[in-house]
Amino acid sequence: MLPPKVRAAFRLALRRSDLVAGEVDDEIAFHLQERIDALVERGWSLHDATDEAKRRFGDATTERDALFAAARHRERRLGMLERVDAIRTDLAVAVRQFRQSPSFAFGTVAALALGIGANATMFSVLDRLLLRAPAQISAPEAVYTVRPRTAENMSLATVVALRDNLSPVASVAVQSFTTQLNVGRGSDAATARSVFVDGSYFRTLGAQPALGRLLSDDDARLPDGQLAAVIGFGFWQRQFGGDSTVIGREVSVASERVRVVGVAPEGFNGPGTRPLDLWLPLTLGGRLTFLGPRWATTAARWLFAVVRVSPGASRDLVASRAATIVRTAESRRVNADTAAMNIEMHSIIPYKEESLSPEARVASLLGAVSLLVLLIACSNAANLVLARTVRRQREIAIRMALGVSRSRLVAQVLTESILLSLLAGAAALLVATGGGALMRGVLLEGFVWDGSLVDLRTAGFIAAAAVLAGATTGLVPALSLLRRVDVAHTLGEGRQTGGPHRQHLLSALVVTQTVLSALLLIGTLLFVKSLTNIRGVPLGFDPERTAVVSLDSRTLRASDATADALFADLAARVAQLPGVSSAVVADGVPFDWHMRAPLRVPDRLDDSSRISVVNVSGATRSYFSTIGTRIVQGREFTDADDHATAERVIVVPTTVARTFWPAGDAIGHCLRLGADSMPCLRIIGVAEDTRESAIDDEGPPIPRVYVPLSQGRRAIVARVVLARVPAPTASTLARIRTVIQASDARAPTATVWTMQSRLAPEQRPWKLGATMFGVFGSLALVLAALGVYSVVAYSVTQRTREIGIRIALGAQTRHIFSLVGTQGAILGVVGVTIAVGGAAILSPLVQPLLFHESARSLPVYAAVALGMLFVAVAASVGPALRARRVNPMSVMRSE
Amino acid sequence: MFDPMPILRGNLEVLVLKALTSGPMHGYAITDWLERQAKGNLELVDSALYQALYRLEARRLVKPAWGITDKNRRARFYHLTEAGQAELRAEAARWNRYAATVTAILGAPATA
Repeated sequence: MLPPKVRAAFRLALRRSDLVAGEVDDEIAFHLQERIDALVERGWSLHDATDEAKRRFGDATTERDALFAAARHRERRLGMLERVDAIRTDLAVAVRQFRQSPSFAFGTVAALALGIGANATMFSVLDRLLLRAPAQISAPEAVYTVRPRTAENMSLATVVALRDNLSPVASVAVQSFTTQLNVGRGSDAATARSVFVDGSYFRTLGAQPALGRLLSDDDARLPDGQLAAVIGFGFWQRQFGGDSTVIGREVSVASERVRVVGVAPEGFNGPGTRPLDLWLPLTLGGRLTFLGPRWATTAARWLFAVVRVSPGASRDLVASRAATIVRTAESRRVNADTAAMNIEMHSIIPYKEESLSPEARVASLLGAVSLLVLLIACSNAANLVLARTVRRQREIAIRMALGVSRSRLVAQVLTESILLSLLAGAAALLVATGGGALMRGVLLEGFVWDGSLVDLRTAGFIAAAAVLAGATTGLVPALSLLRRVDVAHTLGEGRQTGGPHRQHLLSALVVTQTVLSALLLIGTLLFVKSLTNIRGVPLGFDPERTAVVSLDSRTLRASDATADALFADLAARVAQLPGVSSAVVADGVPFDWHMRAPLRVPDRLDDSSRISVVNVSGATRSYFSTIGTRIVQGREFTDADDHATAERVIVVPTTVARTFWPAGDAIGHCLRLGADSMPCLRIIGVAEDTRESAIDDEGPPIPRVYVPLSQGRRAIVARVVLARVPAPTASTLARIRTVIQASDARAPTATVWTMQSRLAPEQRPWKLGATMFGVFGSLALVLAALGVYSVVAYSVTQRTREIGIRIALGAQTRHIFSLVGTQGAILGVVGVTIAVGGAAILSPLVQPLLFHESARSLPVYAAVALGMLFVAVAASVGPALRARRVNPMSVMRSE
Repeated sequence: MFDPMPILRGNLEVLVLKALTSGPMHGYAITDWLERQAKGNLELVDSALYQALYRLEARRLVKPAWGITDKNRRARFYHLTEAGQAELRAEAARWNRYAATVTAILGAPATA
């Protein structure tokens, strides 16, 4: 029997239970025999001696059992200690190995850290975007939003109809669009993202107050309700320092004094994904928004319904009932808008919806992409580990010759990889933190984002990914170790060997990397082109250089002459700022509140179906040059037009002109906005078409017509100051803000923004795609280049002898170069071919995410193919140079 | 002559360690050695010795190895590990201090 130390060293079979029992019995038998011998020597009879020996040993059965138990306990404990020792030894060996080849350790850790970090970042983003339900809503899986499919929102009458008629299959809550309201006065004022809700809102969502109470039916009782407000938890912390005496306090909200009755639970943002700060009874909607007295009319479409499907009722049943109710309610309207009759019902849990937000769709794709990156990273790490295992072949063979079991060696290799990947996991935490900041900036602007991006869930993910990556990375080399080491052969030969098998394995890994990185690069280019395309869509104005100053004065009465003076004064001040080339007062500009009106051309009733409704802007002289819209025919407004008593005139877009006057003679004709009783407006100019979105998903854009500011229907539109500012805009915007604050105290707080900022969200998915694919793609490219390099370098080492002989036989440098370079090129060609084929096959998946770009774009494929080939060949240059320097003599001698 | 005293629980281990300082021994030899040293003053149950040995083994204070005795029998020999020697030193010191203290107290003159 081998001593345990030897046994432990070689991991020979652990003692099994029967073996242990046998040993105990042997030991007892030996003991009794010795005792009997001793007693007999002292003159005892054999019989008496046997009895005495047994007596002294103790009760035979119980003692034997007790000893068995003790022996088994001992074995378990020793086994555990041996395992701990083994791990400790493995770790020590691993650390020693890393010390000996720090570049190997660094390379592997870096590759894995980037791969795992990228995945962790995407995991945390997907987790937020898709997996988590909105916070603090009880049983969120039963809650849906109901909105019209195309029109913006619903009127009060429609949502009330829903609320009154959907029971008992569902309970209904009402929420408005989000608007920015100023809370507080003077320097303490803060902008709060506010919504108007009905009394059943919090009850339906099942939210509990963090403090005070939530809004009740009384607060929102029609027609007047109460001046009450619930503030968001975050807002309470930021703005009131978490002071509990805020309950019952009166605060200024825009033009009203409102009593704070409660604080919403932490993280609660209603059914949406964007943060909210303030909940007000919807009865205040008229006083606090531009809607004014029209808030309760059917013209004011500012609400949507949140329904909770009752237990036992199905989603489909509720959807069909809701559809009927909305259709009935909408068809009662005078100018019934058929578009508003069709509703859609969406779960508030993002991943349950087929129609994900563009951000979520792109993020899902990026999630898959980041898995690819992890695969590349793993295969790269595996490559390094494998190559090193090959280099350590002699050492391994010696250990095997000494009797170290293969499983022990595999454990050693796996320990090394897992240690590497745990180090990588720690580094990945840093990568994920950085990546999280990037994602927040690029993708998640405006999304709810409480707490750190790298939270416990993400850390758990990283740990799991790291262990998994370590095991995968170590497994390939470990298995190849099991199969291939031929002790006698390896020890017999003095030189390094690897054999064709390992060469193939390495090549396969590298081809995989090439394929994956080529795929990512194709994706990158497709997204970059999409981004260029969407930026290139002509909008008919210049969003980047148009700044908008909207005052909190939507609440200022339009009839108030002081408001007119205020705006005129503001425009004049802004116009004087350095860099600002013009500033004008306007009503209903793109991306802001606008008025819609039916368009009627006298005697052309049959044409009205083609363009039935237009957006109306109130404009003044210089409006068009300020916003950057060209007048293609006729003239723009003059100061003379801008009088309530002047002739009623209008500027129409090209689309309207062409539709009704295809001959190009629109100028001088007249048309009406609204009923036949309205005055006919003479067309004085034709402007280029404008659009507020580059995306046509919802049909062609609604044309925008322009009337002189003072002739507009000011009661329902939103007045702003437009300014043409130089790019980059940040400093000018800041200056404009200062100017407003410096003006007299009556001036309410202003919001200053560029139109580009409103375009950014729709460009964001592509920007995100281009950025992240770019990051992942370049990462993958570097990894693949490293991979090609290591394979070619390895192969050069393997073929040193062959190369030496060739050189001895007179091979020229260029022969050696082509010998080595060909290998890299072959890897590249194989990888690129597979990648292009794969991209073509995967194209239907990516196509919906692209903008005006084919997922099978030949130029893109060609560019990536050439680029990858170049990289593959370039990566072979280093090893080729080394091959050229092979000394034939030393190669021969080493034999 | 007094009746033999039972060995207090935990004291047997340190005695076994002491026994092994003279070299590897099998279980019976340890018993025999202890009995001779105790001169009949200690009552030793043989199975308890093996319990103690297994406990020591589990703590890696002793190491077993099967060997052949003079009488050509297969026996499990135990030898002291380095950890076992250290343990013996520590335990012996502790015992001496304890015994000295108790002895001193018991020998102290009675005071009011």
